[in-house]
Amino acid sequence: MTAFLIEFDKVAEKSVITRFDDAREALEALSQRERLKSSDEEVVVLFARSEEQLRKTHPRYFMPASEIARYSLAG
Amino acid sequence: MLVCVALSKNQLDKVGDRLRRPEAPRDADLAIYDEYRDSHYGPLAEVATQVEEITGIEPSSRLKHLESVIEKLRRQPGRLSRIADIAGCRIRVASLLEQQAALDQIQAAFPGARVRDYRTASQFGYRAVHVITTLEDGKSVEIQVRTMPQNMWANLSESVARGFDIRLKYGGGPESILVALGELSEHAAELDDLILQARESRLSAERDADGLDRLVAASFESFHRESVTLLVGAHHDSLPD
Repeated sequence: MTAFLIEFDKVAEKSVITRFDDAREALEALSQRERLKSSDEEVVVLFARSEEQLRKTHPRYFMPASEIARYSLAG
Repeated sequence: MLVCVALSKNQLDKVGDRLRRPEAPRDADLAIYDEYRDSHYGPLAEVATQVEEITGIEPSSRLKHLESVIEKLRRQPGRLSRIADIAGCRIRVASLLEQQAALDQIQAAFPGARVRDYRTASQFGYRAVHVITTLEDGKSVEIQVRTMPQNMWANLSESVARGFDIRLKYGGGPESILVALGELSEHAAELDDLILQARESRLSAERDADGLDRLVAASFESFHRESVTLLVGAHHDSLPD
């Protein structure tokens, strides 16, 4: 599984996504970012084969809330 | 760190009790939580691989992030060592038909696993099936099986709760948003029923399957419009007077 560190800005509804081939590195990065984040940010590590797969199961990190239903219909 | 020095449940639960307090967590407690969380990576990868093998559906997985575990500890009195969803994987399926099939396969592969069925008895609008399996090392992994409409509502609801008021997740927060989310949950359940009918019509090669597909598309469209209306209303309500 590939690890994706997702730094989600809850106000702007946008994510910065960093991909890791090594889960340990991703989890270490998560620990560091969790200590520095503001209350407007959410930081999480998700594991999947592809980012496309994550868009299906976790669309809220990839698009504004207003687009989730439209995207679900298409996918 | 993925190498975990064995922590006693007692030590862990004391950390959980401290994380529950309103003050900022201590670095030493955060390090212990990190270690505990990361020790679930192996079991999570193992279960996710097995879920894919038995269902043929690719899962996504996650380890519970700090903010989420602190929220849970503050919301309910349970112990950190008893939280069953530190590790979780999720599959999204097309319809209620595939959801039941996946549930049957998962239950057969993980005998003794606990099932939390939120399909008919929703939890604050949330619908899905969760299966919690405990591995030999005592660590639990939660497997979430959601249909597309269930997943759509859950993601929307989570976005709204995290964006406006986290109490919305558990039946609290602004009444108007709560009611709108409840109506959308009902709409998602209706969509599931429509998709099931369309699926069954396709399987039995009935002629009205195309018509049902059009109904499904129209229902998605109206769900989309209702969700936009909800979000506009929530933004409006959250603006200072």
